[in-house]
Amino acid sequence: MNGIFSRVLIANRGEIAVRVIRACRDLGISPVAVYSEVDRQALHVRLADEAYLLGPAPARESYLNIERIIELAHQAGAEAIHPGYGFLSENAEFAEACARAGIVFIGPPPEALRAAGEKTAAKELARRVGVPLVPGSDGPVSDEEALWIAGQIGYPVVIKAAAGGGGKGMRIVRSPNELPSALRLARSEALSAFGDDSVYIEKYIDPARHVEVQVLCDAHGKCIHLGERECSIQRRYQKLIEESPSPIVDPALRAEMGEAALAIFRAAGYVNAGTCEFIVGPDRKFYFLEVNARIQVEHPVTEQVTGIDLVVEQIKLAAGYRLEYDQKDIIQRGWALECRVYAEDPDNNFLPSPGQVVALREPAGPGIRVDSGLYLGQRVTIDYDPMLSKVIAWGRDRREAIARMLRALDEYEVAGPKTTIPFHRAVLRDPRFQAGEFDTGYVARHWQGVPVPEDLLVKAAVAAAVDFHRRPKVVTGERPAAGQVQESPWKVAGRWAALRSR
Amino acid sequence: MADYVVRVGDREFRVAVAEESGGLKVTVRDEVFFIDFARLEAEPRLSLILKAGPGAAGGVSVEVVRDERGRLYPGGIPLDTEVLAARLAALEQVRRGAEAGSGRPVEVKAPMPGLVVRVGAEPGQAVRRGHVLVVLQAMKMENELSAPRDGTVRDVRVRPGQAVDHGEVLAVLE
Repeated sequence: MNGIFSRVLIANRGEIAVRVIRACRDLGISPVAVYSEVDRQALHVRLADEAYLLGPAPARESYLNIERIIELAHQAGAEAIHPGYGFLSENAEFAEACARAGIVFIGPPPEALRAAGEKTAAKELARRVGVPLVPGSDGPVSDEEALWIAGQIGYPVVIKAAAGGGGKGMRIVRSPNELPSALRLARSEALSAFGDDSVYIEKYIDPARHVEVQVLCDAHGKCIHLGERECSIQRRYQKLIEESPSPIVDPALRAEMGEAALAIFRAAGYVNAGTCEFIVGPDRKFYFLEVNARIQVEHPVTEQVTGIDLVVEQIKLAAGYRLEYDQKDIIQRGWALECRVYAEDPDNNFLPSPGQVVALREPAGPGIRVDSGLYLGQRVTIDYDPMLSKVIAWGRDRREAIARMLRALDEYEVAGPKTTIPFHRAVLRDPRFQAGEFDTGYVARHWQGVPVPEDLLVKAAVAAAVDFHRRPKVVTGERPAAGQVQESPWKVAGRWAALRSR
Repeated sequence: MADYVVRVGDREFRVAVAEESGGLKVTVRDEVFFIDFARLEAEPRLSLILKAGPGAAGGVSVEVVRDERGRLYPGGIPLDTEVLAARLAALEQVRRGAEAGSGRPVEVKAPMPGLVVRVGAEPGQAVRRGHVLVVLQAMKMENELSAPRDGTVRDVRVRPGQAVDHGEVLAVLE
């Protein structure tokens, strides 16, 4: 393409790094990977044209190391950097450092990042353009102010990190006596995740649905929206299942939310892809939540229904290209769902479950897309976010998308770390989910874990017995009588060790 | 013919396996299968075809991953599995019976490697089920590890700021 970059460095890892590599290839751009010491074998390192070592595993010394990333971009001769999501994606200092170094940051300009990406500034922007806000504090609060404001707007209230996202540093508080400990936890989480312990407080809308609008803006003043995504299936305020369109959004509400989102992005002088998140109450009134000034994890559901490659658009917009679409050209076709596969134990409070992937089979077939950084033998460590991959299903309608997603989830096998796949199988089969009746409290209210189906247990028992029976027997000491079963020594040793420790 | 006790997760099954001319004859809970068994060569997978009779051409196809520690993943769900000759299982039962009722202490272990952010109880403290004993930071999240039952904290073995390994004992409850 004319004037597009020849080389782009991807300052990220995992599935999103692989996703950006693919977009680069589609544009004829040579992708450059960076990696930390523990990611030497990662898929993005092997799929890129070039790969450069950042440093040790901790993010501060690798994927958050601005100086090092820019130095490597120079070394590789990259004209642009794609930050992915998380890490440096919404870091205005990084965007500025790129500009100073003569490198294009594939994302909004630093001023727009500051105006839209920082939560309190974004709320101010929303207020100015007349988009409704959830009642709450106007900015960061002290503990004393939080108590006072909560009393004014009424419980339940929610505490959120001023600098954050992704549910980190977020706590719901239902009564005044829960407030002090919730503030302490929220500040501590905010500090460790974002290096800033300031929090704000607002009324907690319940039941609420999380609906967001995808926006694209070019550098020539055109902004369009690509419809909504519903992301109400969450745990610990982190999304697990997303879909587009939303079961509760009709064309009128879509147009209204789309206009509200566009007003905010225009006022911020925004360029590139971004998302405006809203909370929708039981009366279908919507309130501005925040702007995500980056590509989002759940962007594929929008791609599947609009046919537009958002990452390709990001790169073209950063290179100064004009949007090729007008609002009227954006048509949502069919229905798309996304299930996020995390290395977490859904039967144990979604606790992280690191480990080595010992077997892997990813789903495929009509309507199925898998965005994944997974590979056989991968060691899932605790250094980074535990999301491994995403399954995206498209169908002509919601029912077909759900049927295809279930087929894919039943095919999907990740052996090693525990994953959220069994959770997704259960939710997709839940009549409430199938009827589109859920809200952001769904997981907390309905999820209790699923027992392993009885027939699977019986089959596993048979497989284990047969496998054991057919294992080469090790003869130690006296020779066994003909036909007698000899146990393998490791098995016996393991069992007696277990007995001793009881 | 061999009798096994197979533990899958917290369940127990008695499985009888016999070598027959047509393959393996397996009896589990009054059901009899004739099994065509294959261990995949390049992957840690077992493949079984469960047939109704020794002469049947085929039947239910079952595939399950088995890692080198003997853990099975039916439907991708990891389950610790143990196979014992039935006679050894009976011995263990006797031994276990003798130990029962001694009110053994419960060890609260780290479910993953991480950093101890906070300790929520002191030795000697009486706690209710659900009381947060240790807050562990891992994968960018703070994870609260709480008492699995009512009891008295006998020992707290970690301090804030300490890095712990998977399975490390954090606190002991009695």
